[in-house]
Amino acid sequence: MTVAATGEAARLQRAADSFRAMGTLFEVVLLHEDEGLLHALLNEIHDEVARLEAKLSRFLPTSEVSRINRLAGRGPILVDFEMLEILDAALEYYHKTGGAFDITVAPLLRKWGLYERKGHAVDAQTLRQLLDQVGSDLIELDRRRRTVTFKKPGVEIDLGAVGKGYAVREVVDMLRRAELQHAFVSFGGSSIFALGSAPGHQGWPFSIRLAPPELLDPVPVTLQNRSLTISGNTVRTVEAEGRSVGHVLNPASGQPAADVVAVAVVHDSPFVGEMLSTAMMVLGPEKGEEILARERAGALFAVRSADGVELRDVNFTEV
Amino acid sequence: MSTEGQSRRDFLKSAGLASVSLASMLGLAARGEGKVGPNDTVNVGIIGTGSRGCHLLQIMNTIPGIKVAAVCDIYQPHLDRGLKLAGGKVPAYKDYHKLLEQKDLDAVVIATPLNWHARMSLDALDANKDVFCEKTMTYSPDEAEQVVRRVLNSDRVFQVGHQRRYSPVYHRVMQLIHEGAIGEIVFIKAQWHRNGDWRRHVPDPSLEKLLNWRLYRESSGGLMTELASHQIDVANWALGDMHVESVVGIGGIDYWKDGREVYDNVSVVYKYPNGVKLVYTSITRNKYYGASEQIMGSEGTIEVTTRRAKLFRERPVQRSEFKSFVMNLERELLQSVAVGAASFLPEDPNKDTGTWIEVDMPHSEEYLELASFAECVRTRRKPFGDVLVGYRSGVAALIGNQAMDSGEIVLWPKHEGIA
Repeated sequence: MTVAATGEAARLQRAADSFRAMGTLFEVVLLHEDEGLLHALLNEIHDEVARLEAKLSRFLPTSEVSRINRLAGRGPILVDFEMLEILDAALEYYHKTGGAFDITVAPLLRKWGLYERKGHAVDAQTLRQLLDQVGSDLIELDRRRRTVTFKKPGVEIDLGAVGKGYAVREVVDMLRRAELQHAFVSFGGSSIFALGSAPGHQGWPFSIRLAPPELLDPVPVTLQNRSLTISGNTVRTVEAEGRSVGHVLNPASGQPAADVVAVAVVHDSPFVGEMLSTAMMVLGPEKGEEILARERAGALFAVRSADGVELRDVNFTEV
Repeated sequence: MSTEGQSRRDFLKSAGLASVSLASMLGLAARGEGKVGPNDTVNVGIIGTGSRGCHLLQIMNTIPGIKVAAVCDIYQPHLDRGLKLAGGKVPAYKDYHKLLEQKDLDAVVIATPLNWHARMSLDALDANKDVFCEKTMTYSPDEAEQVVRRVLNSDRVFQVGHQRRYSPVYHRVMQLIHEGAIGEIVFIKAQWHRNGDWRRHVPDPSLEKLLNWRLYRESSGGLMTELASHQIDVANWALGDMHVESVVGIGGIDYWKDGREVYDNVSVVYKYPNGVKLVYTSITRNKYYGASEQIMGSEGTIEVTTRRAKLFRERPVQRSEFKSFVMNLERELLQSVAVGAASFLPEDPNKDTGTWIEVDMPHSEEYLELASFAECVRTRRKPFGDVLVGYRSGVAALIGNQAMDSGEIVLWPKHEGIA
């Protein structure tokens, strides 16, 4: 952690921290006059992110997600209000995106070797069998009883595509409750919320990388009181039989999403933004446009073109 | 504690301790191996040619400029072996007083049971010999005080056998620590864990106390004096040659109820004046962790053994984009920092497996401690592992035993004028 004065005029103190969580780094910059508050908030952020990781990780056998995966195939499992809200939202966006956002693709990800970063080729028959266990409509939520049930054995949930966004939302809510006006929160560089402004700036200016530098320059953006979420296949890919497999899969076909290299989505909520960006990877700019408009979101797509990668702006600059 | 730690580091730098290089400390750099003239040969008598004494003897045989010129032991088979290893043609004594009368001896190496260390050291100094005394320096704190006063008031060279003080691994580690590589030291953990009864073969029951002297209180402080003092010295060294302030502990004879009198397991906690605690354990029925120390700082941990050392950083490595983002917050440049990207996976996200600390090891630390001792004898320089080093580690080991015997907190004994 570093704390330093940011200049005479502002008299704001600055605290920055970076720590490992959910397989990546959580990064935060906070600005406030009270140095003691900044220290305390950094501690609370650390605790909150650790709490959510312990609850949402599918890699930890003691997490809530693991408990659900172990037991919900056998019958209704009681969950807390927070988990109910997350699952409820995940099902809502499963429907809103026509199934493009789906938290049940775990068996597919594993089959493609995307968890252990070793690619396996997957044949059509195996895919068909696996697809039988995939689809969020196989999750039954009883909101009144607060239970979750899988309609088939073998169904698994993976909150990897919402956990970071949810954590950023919770941290930003915490900062707002502490009446912090200016902060920059980034989870893995892919789930970002900019609160207020950087010192001497209007909003928080920075750049986003949607493709390798030889294919595309970083794109400058300025964000203020909104979230920006990036999904992409540029980082977590594995090789399978000579072809590169990205970690975002199309739940309908079981195949890696093909044409979109990466997409950045701007939305008020980092939680919703992360679900939308995952869906946009699958849908692409044409099919995604209507959903984005309905959700008052904008997106910047990096898509494969004849001579490399090109950008497609869908209300990105307007929102 | 942070301001204390800072001033501590500043002190270390200003005192020049942080920059002590191994070669210059050993005094070996300028001369170089093989350049010792015949008149510079140091004649050494070895008092105690049991396993340790013979080990040192054989190492001395390989160091240019050292001649083993006498051996001494009260136990005939050990004396015979010592004589044989020394080439068979040097005087061999049963009474160390006779060895001290040998005129051509420059120095003695004392490798006897603990209860003899002080008496023999004082007698050797009286006989005008330089002294290399095995650890632990003395059997009691009072003896430690006597030896310190005697050495400080003489022109004799006195070195205590803490070979880690001469280990390239430990020197590199201490250099890193004193340069701030792990931040401010906040805690130290050390242990020497073995799985065995620590007994030596005894040909006849009448020789039990002579040969298994480590197991009896009249001749040994057990695990604390035979093992812990080395590692307490490492902690003292890391903390800039501080000595402990107090100690609590619990020991027991729980695994080997064979008539021994010293604990077969010890667990002690030392407190230093700056608040740092040293937690020390030695057990004899499980060897996990072996002999190692973990020096834990606000920014990292160094785990060290005589063979190698590893650095574990307390803080994760920052992403360079984020670092640059924070640095450029107020600048126009901020716009160009690509802090946003598809989610990345840092290297080995779930555990830091540490970084090996690279060290050149031309010789064993025992070779280096003896070569350095010989060089101090020639040049009349004060050894790096001098009498105060032995005093701080030795007295700490002894009061550790007092704490376990009494079940009370034992404070550092005040010896006027000695720190």
